[in-house]
Amino acid sequence: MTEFWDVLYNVLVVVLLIFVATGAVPVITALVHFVIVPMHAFFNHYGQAEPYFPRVAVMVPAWNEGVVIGATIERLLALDYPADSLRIFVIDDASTDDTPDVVGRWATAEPGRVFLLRREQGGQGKAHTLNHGIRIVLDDDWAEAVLIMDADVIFTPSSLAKMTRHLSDPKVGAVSGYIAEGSRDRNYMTRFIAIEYVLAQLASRRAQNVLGAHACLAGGAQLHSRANLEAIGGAIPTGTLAEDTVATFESQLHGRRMVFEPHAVVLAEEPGTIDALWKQRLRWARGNVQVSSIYRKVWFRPGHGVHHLGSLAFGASWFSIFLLPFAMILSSIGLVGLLLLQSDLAQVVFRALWITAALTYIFSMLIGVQLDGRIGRSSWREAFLFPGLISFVVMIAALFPGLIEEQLPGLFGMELLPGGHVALTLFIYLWISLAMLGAWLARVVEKTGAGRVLSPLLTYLVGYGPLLCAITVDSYIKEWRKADTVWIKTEKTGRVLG
Amino acid sequence: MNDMTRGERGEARDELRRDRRKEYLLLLQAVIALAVIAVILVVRQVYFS
Repeated sequence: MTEFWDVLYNVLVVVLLIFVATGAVPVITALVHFVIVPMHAFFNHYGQAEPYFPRVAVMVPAWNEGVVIGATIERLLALDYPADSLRIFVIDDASTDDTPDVVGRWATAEPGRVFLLRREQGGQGKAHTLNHGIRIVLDDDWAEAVLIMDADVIFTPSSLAKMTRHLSDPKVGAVSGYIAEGSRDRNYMTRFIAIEYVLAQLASRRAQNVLGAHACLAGGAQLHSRANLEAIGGAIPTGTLAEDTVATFESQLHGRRMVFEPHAVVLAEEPGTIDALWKQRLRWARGNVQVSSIYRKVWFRPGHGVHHLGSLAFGASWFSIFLLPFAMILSSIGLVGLLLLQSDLAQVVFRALWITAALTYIFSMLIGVQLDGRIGRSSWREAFLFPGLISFVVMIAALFPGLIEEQLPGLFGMELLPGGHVALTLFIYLWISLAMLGAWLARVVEKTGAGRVLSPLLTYLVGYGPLLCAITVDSYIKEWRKADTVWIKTEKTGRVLG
Repeated sequence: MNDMTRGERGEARDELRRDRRKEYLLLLQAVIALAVIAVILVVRQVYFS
């Protein structure tokens, strides 16, 4: 009988170790991803690119964008791009503000360059709005490329020409630029988003260029060759909340290469509150849940087809983000379980996990703040508090044993009692999961009177990363409950840098 | 495709070359990041092991 319990005990320990290892998978995947980034110095598309200025039809979907659309059109007309090769089509999705009037005035002032396309019935989402315009543009043989963008983004003067040069290679189907956070009046939230965009685009998409598989070309700056758009059916696939991701996947499944151009900078206004971020990211996260299911026959099938979407590296990267909250929770369960069964072993695996996480985080943030000097200078605090102040302290505790539990209290003549030591250990092991609850709380308090102070404070404490994980959890729940897939537009106020 | 002047094409080609060269900065940035990590690991080894 004792033997049976011994076996059960050992099996339980192994299971708990596997749980902890689950938490290590996203960390190791991120580390591999960031180690690949410098390889972009050698493995990029510049060798196959040539100066190339195709005739570009710009598609600007607009719903109640009266505040921003005039500046957007003005900036597009001022691009360093041959005027006779650029046409701007604003697809008005039945706006109820002055969007059609503003665009109409531009169309009159710039005949043959600015066009207003009006949908009398709107509200079906961005893909439907875009397709209204794309069908009209593809009916005519003028356009050689189609640029899909958001109504509020500002293309820097050289950005389009930097993107089109990659289309000189017929193997390339689509190109995207770097969407940089560009709000004039920044706050803690836009600074977090700014550093997130550096990591998710300037770093991660360079790695995806090297790997030859792209998860998503930014919907705010997605340039397709005409041939590519026609190959995927002459329209942006509808039916999901992630039309840009589906378009990126479909293009690759049809055998075309995607390119991220880090030097084509496009400025965008981003949410300034947790609530606005939550709504925007919930849409993205639910879209990713849908994409994970739609392409279930693509994942982890290397060598299938002409694309690299089935590669192990790409699948690990996709699911590390998609399943990150599960990994965090399993890791916490594993650590707490091991603490109860074998506390010494728990300490060893905790250190191994958190030291790897700390080194990955330090490496990625140091790369991140250097990739975009403007963002690096303004958002370095958010870069270093990206995982949250508490996780930062946990990493220090893992890296420098004794510093937090013994040496620091010792400086003030204090000592941690055994009971306090156990409570602290338990808190640290659980923190990776508790952080998501803290992020949810930050959203709740934002709506209260004290929200202006408490909400940023909580976000800095629990971290921006756990906030994104909490939104991912919400997306699982909403998809599971089959909640309405309404298109909630992110509020824009025209505060993007001029 | 529109007609480009030789000057415009040359300018675009120079910009392409510049952007391609800028990518080598990634190597330097990675070395800086690795150097900081090396310092952290040395401190850990010397004072906390």
